[in-house]
Amino acid sequence: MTLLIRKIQRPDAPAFRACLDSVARERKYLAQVEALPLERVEAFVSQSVENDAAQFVALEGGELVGWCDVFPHWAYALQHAGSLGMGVREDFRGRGIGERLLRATLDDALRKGIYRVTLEARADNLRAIRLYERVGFIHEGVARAGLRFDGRFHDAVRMALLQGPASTA
Amino acid sequence: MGAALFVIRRIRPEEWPAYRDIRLAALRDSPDSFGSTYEAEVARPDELWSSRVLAASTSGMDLALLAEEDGAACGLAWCKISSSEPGLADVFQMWVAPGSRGRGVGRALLGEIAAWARGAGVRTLRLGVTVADSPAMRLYRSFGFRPEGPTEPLREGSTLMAQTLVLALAFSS
Repeated sequence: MTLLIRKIQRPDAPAFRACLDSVARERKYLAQVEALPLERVEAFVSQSVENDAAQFVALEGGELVGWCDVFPHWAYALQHAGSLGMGVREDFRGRGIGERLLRATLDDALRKGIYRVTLEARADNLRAIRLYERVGFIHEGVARAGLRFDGRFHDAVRMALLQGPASTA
Repeated sequence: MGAALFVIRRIRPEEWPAYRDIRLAALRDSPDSFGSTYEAEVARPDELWSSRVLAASTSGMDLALLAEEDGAACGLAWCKISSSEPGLADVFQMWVAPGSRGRGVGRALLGEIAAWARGAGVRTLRLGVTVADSPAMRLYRSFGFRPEGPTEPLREGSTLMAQTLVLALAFSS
């Protein structure tokens, strides 16, 4: 078995959508509970490839089993900041895929001038929060009742990592 | 569990020692695969290695890739867009460590290069390969590379012959 982590490419769109959909349907970790239609995902991936965005995927054979991306803000004073999104398919968790994905993506974000990376994670998603802490994310606060699944509210932790010139700011 | 995990990513400027080490390992392992030699490269000063990697990271014309297996460097590839012919890019220094071969790392490096080059408006990828029925030759041919022009000695005085291969990049739209 070989797992490969690399930047996303246009033909990955359907497999990316399937992976996103699988994690979304857990109704636990992602804000969305199903993936967008394929043409929306294709357009999104195309744009990501065009911009050489910091978006990495993990593949095993033809299957996409995880992703991680950091997209910068567009507004002038926020261009050094980007928000992180990631997911690993349930049956591939616990193998260090998330950490490798995350490190590769953060490196690429740094190269692209993204010096502050922010994220929100459901407060009870301890596995993800441990990973973010290990890689250097710091807790910045709690979004109270930040997520709502099936009528139930959940707090979300807000974390950020500073890198490059911002790490000494 | 136990699956090897490969990462294909760009070399960061401060990682030039890792780049030097893997480049030298490649030359030592596969002296018949490259135009340059271990003896010529090992003599180069640190400044040259660091400036090479730094220049690549800022030029917009270079893609310097590292392959890692479980966090350790296991492969290298470099793509450079021609300054005189922007539609053309050369692939150099491609190498995968012996222990990591046969797992698709070379193909993944080529795939990454092709995707990047396409995005940069490159129409043709070009590389040189030593004429032999080698895994490298088979990989390039199965990836779609085709011979172009006559063979030439790998380097001055060498009995080994090198063949230029080219690949026309397909555009989806």
